[in-house]
Amino acid sequence: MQTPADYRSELTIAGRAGRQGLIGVAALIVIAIIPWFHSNYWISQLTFVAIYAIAGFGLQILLGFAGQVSLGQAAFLASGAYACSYVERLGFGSPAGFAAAVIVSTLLGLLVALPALRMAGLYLGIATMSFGFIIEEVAARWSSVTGGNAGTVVAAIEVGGVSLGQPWQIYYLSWLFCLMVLLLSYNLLRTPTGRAMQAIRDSEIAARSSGVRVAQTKGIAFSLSAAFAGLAGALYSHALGFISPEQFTISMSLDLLVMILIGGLGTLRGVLFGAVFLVVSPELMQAVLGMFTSGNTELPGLRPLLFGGSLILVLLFQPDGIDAMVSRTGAWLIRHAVSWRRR
Amino acid sequence: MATDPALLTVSDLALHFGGVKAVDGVSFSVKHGEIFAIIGPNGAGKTTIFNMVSRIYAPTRGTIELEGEELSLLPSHSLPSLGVARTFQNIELFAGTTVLSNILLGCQVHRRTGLISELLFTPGALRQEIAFRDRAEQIISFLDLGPYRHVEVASLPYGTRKTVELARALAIGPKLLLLDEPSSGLNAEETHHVSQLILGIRERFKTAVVMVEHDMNLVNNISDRVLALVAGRVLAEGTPEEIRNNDAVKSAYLGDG
Repeated sequence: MQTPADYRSELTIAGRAGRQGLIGVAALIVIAIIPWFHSNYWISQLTFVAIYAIAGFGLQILLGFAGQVSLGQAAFLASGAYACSYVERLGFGSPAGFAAAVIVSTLLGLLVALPALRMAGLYLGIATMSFGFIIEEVAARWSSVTGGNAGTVVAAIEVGGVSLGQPWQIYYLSWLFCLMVLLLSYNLLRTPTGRAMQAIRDSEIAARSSGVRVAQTKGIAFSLSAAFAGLAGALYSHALGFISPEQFTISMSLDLLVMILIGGLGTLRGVLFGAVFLVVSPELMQAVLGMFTSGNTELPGLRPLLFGGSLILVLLFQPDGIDAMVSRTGAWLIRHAVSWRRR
Repeated sequence: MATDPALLTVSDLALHFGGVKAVDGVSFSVKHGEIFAIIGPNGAGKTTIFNMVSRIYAPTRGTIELEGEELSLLPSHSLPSLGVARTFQNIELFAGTTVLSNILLGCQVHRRTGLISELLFTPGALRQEIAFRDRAEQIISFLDLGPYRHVEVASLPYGTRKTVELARALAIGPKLLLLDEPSSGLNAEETHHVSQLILGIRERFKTAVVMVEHDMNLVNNISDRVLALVAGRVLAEGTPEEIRNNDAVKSAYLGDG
């Protein structure tokens, strides 16, 4: 058999019509019209879905596809957030700030790739976690740049004299970047570098003897994941309007990890599900608890309990995450819809 | 007679682990398009030689030349682009990906795009993907892997996984194909199939095949020359016929009768 004739269209995004395409377009429309129907509170919460998803795509590439553990992703969000706000304060404008965020984080990602050349698994986890602690400490002490423990107020994004300070503006900007990062990740995974990443995840020795440059590929995985996290950090700082070291702790790194595990390891779509879970599930939990505790819902241990508990449940009953659950439910619905029509 | 310079020349190759001489002073050469078998009892150093040729181990002593180019100083990832491909005794595949994706990984030795054009999926990257897919499909059809194209490797039976590994090696476009026990784990019928396949591969892909093999039927049926090893040293080298009738080989492998 020769290459299928429709392979060219299979490779172009617009050519992927049909059911998947329709769902994608529907999702885009929902994302686009949400700000018209919701309060600023929900607009800002959904902005964080996009921001976490951006960082999540990076971690998914690193862990889900290249097989490299990172327990220090928060450090790259921190470097992005601080680099962006510093460059903006110097008066170079937001585009330069965002560029600085991506560049600084990418370089740090390359640095963290160095231990990954010699370590794997748990050891790499510990190394990346330590890196996270170091950056947190640097953020706390390097006051002239970061504002120290007191934190820094972040001004609104400004592009060519136009201020983008409204929640809906940051919402659209974040989702725009999120789509861009999704597209880049999708392209990565269907071309040689992405395949090389999956190769080193599954068998380094076979990858090497099939011509994969292992060190280079790990370096790209770490720096891409750091670049995405850095971009997410820059958006995060503007969405909150304030940054301080205590936002970028191990707990944020673990949230990101939980997010891609619950969403589904090794799928890009799962990242989006995971990000929705990360932002929406604590809200739902609060609302449910509110019914029983007459509005007193200030329970500090709620988040970790909810995430930890959900992670255990997912790993036990649905190791492939929400994404697999959605695929299965979708397939079930379609099967039944078809058999209904036949009746 | 026109001189036909050897494809692979191994001279005085040795690998010592402390006092253990896993391979000690082995020399042989392989011609273009030749099927060359390395035999020997367990621990004779067959796979160790393979691992040195494919640069997984660094030799203690000796040289490995491919068409005059010294291999033993190169990193292992640069061998495929010189035309050296291999399979593994215990199958090393990218288990979490599809058969097609495994084969495409072999194709991408011939990659021309950079990271940026891949991330942006430029027309060049698209053309390259189509070219890779064409190449992969030729190999898929040659090895009858069509039904498994989009199947994840981890879920395939053993024999099929061995074929996929062979497909990935062929996608590299080798001049020298190293097969580490192509028949291990296969039944008699499958082994016969593999021997036909190896002959077919030489015919179609114009590659020399060096194999480590225990199945003497397979070795006798298809190899042009055989290298017999014992305890890291060369015992004999010659045609299958010569090796079969060599007294030293007989006594070393079968014991003095």
